[in-house]
Amino acid sequence: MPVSILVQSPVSFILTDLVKAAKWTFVDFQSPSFSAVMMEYTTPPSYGSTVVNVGGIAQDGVILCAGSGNAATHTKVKDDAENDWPAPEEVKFIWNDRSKDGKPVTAVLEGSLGKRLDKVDVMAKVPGFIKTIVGGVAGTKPYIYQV
Amino acid sequence: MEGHADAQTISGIHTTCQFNTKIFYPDGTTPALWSSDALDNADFDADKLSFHADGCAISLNGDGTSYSVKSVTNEASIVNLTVSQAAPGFHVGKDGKSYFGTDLKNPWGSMRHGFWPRCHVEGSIITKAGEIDFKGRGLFIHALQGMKPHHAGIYPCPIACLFYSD
Repeated sequence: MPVSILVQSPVSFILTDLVKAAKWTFVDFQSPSFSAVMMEYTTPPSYGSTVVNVGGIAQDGVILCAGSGNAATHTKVKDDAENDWPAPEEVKFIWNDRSKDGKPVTAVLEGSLGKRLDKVDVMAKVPGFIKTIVGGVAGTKPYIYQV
Repeated sequence: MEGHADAQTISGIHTTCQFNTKIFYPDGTTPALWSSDALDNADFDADKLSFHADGCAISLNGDGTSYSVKSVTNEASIVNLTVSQAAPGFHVGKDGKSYFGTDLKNPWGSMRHGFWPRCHVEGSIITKAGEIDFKGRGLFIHALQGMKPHHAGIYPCPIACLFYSD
């Protein structure tokens, strides 16, 4: 069953204080019968450290549910020696949304992430001239963990 | 594989646009392929539903159910893909926007996300190692970030993100 789970956490996009996210987690679950997607991010302290979560589940031709009542959790983490972030090893995603006719729909996706496909040093990818304009992102060393 | 195009307006004067492609190889040994190239003459079509630049185009079809993504901006990854809805798209809330700040009538900024959670993908990406057939399933996300002008003069960054699995 072909599955690829794309998880990014934690990451601050290029302009930390101006982009309202300090941490993101994404999941894209695709299988022959279901597609389940979720995006959760936490705003930086200057925006109240608010957790925003949107997601939904679909099958061929139909959205089973969508909404913002979901939760993304890293149930097991391991400190990354390179950058001090807690790298996720196991995750649990809970969808808790409504269907088109208002009925509650829940789903859980959990498990070990397995071998990581990539780890991205975000600031290394930022074009030079943007880094110059921003003048440095104080106290942040953003990374993306992709599995 | 993940691809996206970013456009950024800084201080209302300078616009930059970047087309990015990333290919993950699940064999566990091949390093990810990453292409990121600045685009020239980037612009939207009159209906604002399609985008084009020199050597790159992301176009929505007539009935709004399929995007074609083409790019020759980097010969390490020549992209020719079609992403079509297999299920309806959705956004959360009445317009898919999240607003930030302490006063909803005067938000500091917003982000909008639209999702096509289940797509059919066809086409390929030609790499130096050969052509990769991307027929399979996919997820398409359109993300748009809007900032209020008084926040340090950095303006909206429209981003179209395509995530493909398998």
